[in-house]
Amino acid sequence: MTGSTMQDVPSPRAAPAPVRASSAPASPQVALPQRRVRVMIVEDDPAFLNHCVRMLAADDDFALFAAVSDAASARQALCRGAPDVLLVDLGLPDAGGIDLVREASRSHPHMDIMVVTVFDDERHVLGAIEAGATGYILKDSVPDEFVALIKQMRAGGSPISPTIARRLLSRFKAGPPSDLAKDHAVHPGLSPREAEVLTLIAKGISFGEIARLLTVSQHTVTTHVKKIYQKLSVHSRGEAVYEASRMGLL
Amino acid sequence: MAWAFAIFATVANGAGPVARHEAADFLLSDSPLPPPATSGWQPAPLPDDWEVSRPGVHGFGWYRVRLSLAESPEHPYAVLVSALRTTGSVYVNGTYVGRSGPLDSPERALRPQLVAIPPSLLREGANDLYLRLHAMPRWPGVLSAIRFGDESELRREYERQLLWRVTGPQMVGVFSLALGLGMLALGRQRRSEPEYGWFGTAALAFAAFVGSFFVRTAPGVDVVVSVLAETGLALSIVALILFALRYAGWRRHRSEAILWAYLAATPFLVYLGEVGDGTWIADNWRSASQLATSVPALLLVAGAFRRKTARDAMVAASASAVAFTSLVEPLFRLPSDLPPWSPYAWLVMELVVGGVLVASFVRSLNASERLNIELAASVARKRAELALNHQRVHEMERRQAAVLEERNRIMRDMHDGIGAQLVSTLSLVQHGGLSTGEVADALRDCLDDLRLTIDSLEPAGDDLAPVLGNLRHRLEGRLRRSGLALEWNVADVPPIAGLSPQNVLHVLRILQEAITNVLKHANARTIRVESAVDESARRVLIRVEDDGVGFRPGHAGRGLANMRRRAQLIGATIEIVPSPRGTLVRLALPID
Repeated sequence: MTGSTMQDVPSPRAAPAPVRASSAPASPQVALPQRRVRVMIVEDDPAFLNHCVRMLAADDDFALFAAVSDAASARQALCRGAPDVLLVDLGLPDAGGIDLVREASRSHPHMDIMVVTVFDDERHVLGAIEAGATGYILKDSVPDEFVALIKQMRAGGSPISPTIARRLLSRFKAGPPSDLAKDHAVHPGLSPREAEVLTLIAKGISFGEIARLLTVSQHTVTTHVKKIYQKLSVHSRGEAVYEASRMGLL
Repeated sequence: MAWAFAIFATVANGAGPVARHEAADFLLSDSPLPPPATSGWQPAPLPDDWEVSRPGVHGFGWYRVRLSLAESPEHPYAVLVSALRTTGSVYVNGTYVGRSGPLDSPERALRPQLVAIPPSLLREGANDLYLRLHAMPRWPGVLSAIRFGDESELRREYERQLLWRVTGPQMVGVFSLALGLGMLALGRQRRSEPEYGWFGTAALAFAAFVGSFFVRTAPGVDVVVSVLAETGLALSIVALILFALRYAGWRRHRSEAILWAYLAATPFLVYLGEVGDGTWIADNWRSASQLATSVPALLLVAGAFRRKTARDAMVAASASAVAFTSLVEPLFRLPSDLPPWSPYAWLVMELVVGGVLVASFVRSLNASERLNIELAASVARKRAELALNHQRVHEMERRQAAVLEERNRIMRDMHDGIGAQLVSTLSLVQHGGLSTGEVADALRDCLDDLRLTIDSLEPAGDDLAPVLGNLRHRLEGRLRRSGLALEWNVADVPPIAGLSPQNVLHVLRILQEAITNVLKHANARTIRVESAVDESARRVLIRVEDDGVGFRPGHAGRGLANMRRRAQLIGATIEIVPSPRGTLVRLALPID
């Protein structure tokens, strides 16, 4: 697997561009599922909704499950069926986005939920992760990045930024209460490898460089990120208020 | 018969060396020598008060006592009387032995008198003892029982009587004077409590009354002394009544005018009584005074029943003792052997009331002291509270100022950063120089810049590496789109003290400006970002190097000026080294 668009892309807005080593054309690194990936979009801005629909239609790997503009319609659609990927605009009115993410992740635990947001700061992204999202896409992503990120997600990876990595490190440092953290080291809740990955990401080192440093594949690195997100979401769901206050979220 | 009676009395009483004679023969006579037995002596019981036995009579009177001695004595004998008014001359068996009492300046007090008898004058068997009493006008004669016996024994008795009848009351008088003055002084300090002043007045008036008993004056002046003395007594009673009223808590009342009327009337009525006008009121005015002493006692007893404290009970009891002695003493009439009681009753009352009043005074002193201390403590507490409040207000003001400063910083940065970006994009769009894709890119750059500003709001601690990492993350997209290859060699950098959000933003903006310059002007293929620590280990170096066309040294744009300005603000140095083969921008940050 030679250099591809995914190698040096920690950012969720990766653009197809030649890397140092080679200039291979953009192609997804991972194997495609046999059938088309069913995607549902919840977006209240009609222009952006159309934009997303067009982006998905342009790619043969995706099929549009539903495109709705409010949370109520989304719930109705989810009752009738289960898409593979749910895209939710975090900017839905009345915090409808976050609530929808929470409900959907509970009712459809195996569905990939990605939030579409303008800002990827702590409040937006980590809040969404805790509610059950598995990744995020910046709203101003170019079409190629947009679909690439969804495919990366389906393949098992999650997008992350240095800031988010730093925040995750400090969150997990606060740790669960003593009776649970007996045999955990500095970052109770995180495995040492996961802590290492987060630390490297926080320093701005790209996925490819991390993979080289740790002598693993880049896919492994992004999978670690997905697992870390899941842990955060589990924490938040399982012992909701108490854990959140312990980790300094409240 | 009288003789026999007298002898019998003598024999009955005269068993030991001291004989007490409670009867004698009496003859009113001006004779300078003992009148003979045939003169018409009448028996008279002793004590004899002329005011009772022969009112209105004054002049000379003779008393005769028959003594019987077993043998002629070897030691001196003496005659002792407890009370005698005014002068007495003693004759034994016809011989003049001695005189007692003042001649012309009588004293109101009734002193005991002792006259010594040389033993040579006494014979075995019957002896005649004569006593010539001079009763001056306005001074009714008084003679108590006559004691006759061994001089040393009688002297002892005399001393005892002197102590109780004369010295004691004198001491009480002095004590009353001192107490009165003391109470008046206290009363001056406690103007809201008039009982001090009234009791002091009562004590002083009583001191004057007692003192009058021991004053010897010329015959004419003694009327004045009497008037003053009785007025003093009346004043002491009035003051005592007012004390009782105030002590029990009664306020001034119209009816108190009665007291002042009584006091005002006293001198006139006493004068009338003295000069012998004979009005019934004048003669009995003294009795009225004596009755009046019961008033304060009753008032205090009533007050004690009301308040039921031990203190009030003691005060009431002592005042009752005074009233009791005043009322009862006259019944026993003066010339008895018993000492006067009322001075001692007054002494007790003065001690009790004085003690109570002084204790009350001390208590109020202590209370006011305590109050002052509490007040001072309260003031100190309030002051501390005030200081704390001031501190809090200060703190709040400081925090508000900090918030304001931060807001200003953000606004400035947004103006400098995204504001400038949007403006330049707008101008490009307006001049029609951009394709749609280029406009989209420019707007994306604006969003990235906004995200960069938001990133810099979070405190970075003192670690620069994540800050640089985040910068890379934000700029990478742009670099990739323009086909620029990025070499990122940022290693672990040592902690930098004082890396506030402001400073982080300045570093980011400096580096962003450097990288943007490369993007826009350098026409480069590669850009390298490195971090290192300089040799002196006191500075962190960040290098941005490209392999482009460089720029001419004189061509310094506004961007470079901004970079230098920001570097200066954070205390860093910046070096820009252009060369035909590329440009190097080196930023040196002091570690501390």
